[in-house]
Amino acid sequence: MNRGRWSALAATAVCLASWAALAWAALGPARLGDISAVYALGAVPLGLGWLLAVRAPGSPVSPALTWLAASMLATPAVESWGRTAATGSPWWGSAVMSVIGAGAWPWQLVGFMALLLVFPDGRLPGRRWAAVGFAIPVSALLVNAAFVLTMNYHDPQPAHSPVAVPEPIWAPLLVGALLLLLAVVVTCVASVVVRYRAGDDRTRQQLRWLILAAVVIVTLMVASWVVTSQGWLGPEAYAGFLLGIVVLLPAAVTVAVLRHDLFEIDRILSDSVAWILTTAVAALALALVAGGIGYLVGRDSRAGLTGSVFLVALAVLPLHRAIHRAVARVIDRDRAVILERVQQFVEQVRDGSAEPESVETVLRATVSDPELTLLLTDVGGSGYVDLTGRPAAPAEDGVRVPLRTADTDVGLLVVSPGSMRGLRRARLAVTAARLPIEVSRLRLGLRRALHEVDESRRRLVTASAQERRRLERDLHDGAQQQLIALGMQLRSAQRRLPGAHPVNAELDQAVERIEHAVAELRRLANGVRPATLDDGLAAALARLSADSPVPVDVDVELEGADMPSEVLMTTAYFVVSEAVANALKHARAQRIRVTARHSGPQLHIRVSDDGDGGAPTESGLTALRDRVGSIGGLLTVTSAPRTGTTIEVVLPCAS
Amino acid sequence: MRVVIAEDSVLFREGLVRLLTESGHDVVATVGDADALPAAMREHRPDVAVIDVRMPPTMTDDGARAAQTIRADHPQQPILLLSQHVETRHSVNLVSTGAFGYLLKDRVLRVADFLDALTRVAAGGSALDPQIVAALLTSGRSLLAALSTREHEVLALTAEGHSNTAIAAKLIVSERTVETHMRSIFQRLQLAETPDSHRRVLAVLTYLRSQPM
Repeated sequence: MNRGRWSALAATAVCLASWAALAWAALGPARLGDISAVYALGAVPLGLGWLLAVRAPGSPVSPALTWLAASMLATPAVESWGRTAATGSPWWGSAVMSVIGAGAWPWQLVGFMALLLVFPDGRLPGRRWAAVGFAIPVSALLVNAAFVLTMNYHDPQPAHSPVAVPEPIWAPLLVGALLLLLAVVVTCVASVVVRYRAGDDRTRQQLRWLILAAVVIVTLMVASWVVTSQGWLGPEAYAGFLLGIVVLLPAAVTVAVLRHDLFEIDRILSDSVAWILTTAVAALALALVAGGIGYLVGRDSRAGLTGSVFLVALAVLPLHRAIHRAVARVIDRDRAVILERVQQFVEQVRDGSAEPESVETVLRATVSDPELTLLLTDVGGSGYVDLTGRPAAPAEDGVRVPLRTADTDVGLLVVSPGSMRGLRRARLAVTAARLPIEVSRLRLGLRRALHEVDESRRRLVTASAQERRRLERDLHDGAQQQLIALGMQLRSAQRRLPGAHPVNAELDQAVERIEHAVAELRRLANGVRPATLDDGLAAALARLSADSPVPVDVDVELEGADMPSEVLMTTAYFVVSEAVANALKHARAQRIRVTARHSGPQLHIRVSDDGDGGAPTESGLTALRDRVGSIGGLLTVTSAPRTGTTIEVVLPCAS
Repeated sequence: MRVVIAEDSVLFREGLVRLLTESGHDVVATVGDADALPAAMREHRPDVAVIDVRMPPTMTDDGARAAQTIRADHPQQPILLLSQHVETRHSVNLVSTGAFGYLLKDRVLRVADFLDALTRVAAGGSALDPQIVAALLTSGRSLLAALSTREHEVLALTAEGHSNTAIAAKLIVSERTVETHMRSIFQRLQLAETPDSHRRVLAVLTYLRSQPM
């Protein structure tokens, strides 16, 4: 068992003895009859002290709490003991106790002061502060002694101090002791401030619990004072204040030690302070305004009162906001900084100076967690992807925060394991950055969808090219072949006929028809897919000009380039053939020029004529445009009247 | 003549065999696969080989490639390529070598012309389909644009393998006129004139081959 436990045990013994004494004094033969429920509440700090002793062994807050309970209970116990002297059945030593008890009240503060000094981890803010640790009991003892020594002068009841202090000394003695006590109390409070300023995140957060309790207790005290001074309530108004001290403070320090990041203490504290300040300012303003208006329109004017309430109400909301912001900046600084940074980023995204995809980097910097990762739900897939669209799995040891918008799973925030506070910060930041995250996700989805459309179009075009090729072969190797074989059979039959046979001429005719049919089939097959493409795109384009009634200059240089794919060749061929046909049909061109060049990963084709120009740029070229678009190419038409038409096509070679 | 036929379409092959046999030629072997052709050629050493361009195994231009392989072994081997459609990629290298013909398949139906062409090729001459000549000429169109229509006709006929006399008869002009045209053609194409008419054809085609395809 460590020292803390022994200490707690001793304090508990004191508590039990005090309770017994109080109960015996009230209900026993002495019949003091005055027992307060407040004494029962002493069980709260005692119980919490023991809870800490079990759950956080070694924490100095545990004995501090138990001694807080002990000092709270022992003081009235000693007082009661002393008071039995005046009853019919005085206890043993009650006379001495009544003397001591007359100045025992400072001991009730000892527990609080000790708590302030050692909270939260028992380390003193510095070496010199050890003196304060001694000063606490010493100052209490001194005040107690001073009261005892001077009781003859200030106690309303006839009392007898064991040592008579000469009259000129008692006042400075008493005042000096009280000043010392006050100084120790102030120093203890100062220790909290010093520790807060020097402390790390965790210490500060634990201290915030204490500060929250202190703020509430002070507020309750002020409120109680106002209520009683106005005569609205009797001393019972202080019950809240007492509860604050006995229940709220121990509870707050217990939470601070055990689960310091149970709630968003920064925010609670900040909100509470802001609320209290607003209320105070509003009350002050109401008093001033009401006073001012009352002075102007008459003290009991109903209109004056309504008007002042109205005026103050108008001011309270903006006032509250301003106070809230100001307080938040001081108390809950992290939160304010995070919100400000993320907000700044969101605005940058909005005005286009930042990419929404950089949200992860911004979040990492904002919450200072380089391990933070943002994963998005794969649109149209399962699992998660990172912001570049690559599939990604959340880190095993990371803490996962699901991101949702209404019913949609937007993604997952993975932060490195740490405090609840860090997690809350990350949550806050990610909520503020919801917009860029959603935009990133949608952009990713859009890119993916476009990519898929592109892919499927590519597949369709390739399939169609293959189909054309197959069809062309079927025509050549199937029908055409069959027809020729048929013709040969006829010729063979013809050979066996006598030369002058009348059927001869008929057979000649039949074979001629077959020849026509074969030529026709060849023409058809050529339309499906020009067989000349087998000789390469350059040869096919050159051959194209052979069928033109006007000169077509074909200037094709594709050397050094890889053999273009079937799809690219067919597309290029048909684009040129269609453009040439258009020039012949609509533009009354006299000369047509076709150039084709490889330029990096692109094939540039240009078909220009010296015709009428003024070609329809849209409707008439839809078929051409679709053909070019089908493999992701670009088509531009320049066609001013009387300057001819130029069609320029850029085809990506990867298709 | 002893003939080897390489043709994958059974109907056409049988028709061709029959046609040649009935015309008094001797079909010593038929193959339906370009890969089997060199072996058959080595075994039979035919006077002429009739080869389909598009054949198994790849059904693209296996026949033409087989012809080039055969020529690599036997540069003098007469070869007649048959094709369903005009394709010049492989024939260009061969047209200038002589003893070579390249016809569209339906020319077979003009039996007399076909046999004539076959005989010409077997004898070391050439026989090119007018359409294929046209295709070859288009390839060199930019330079040939200098030729007149008549000169074009003459050159085309020359390229098909006809002699000056035959061309004169076809165009119904005198042989002298044809000779004049030929001289003009060579001049315009900047070719040195040689006494042998056949060589002149080859010279033209060699020139065409040098054109970017």
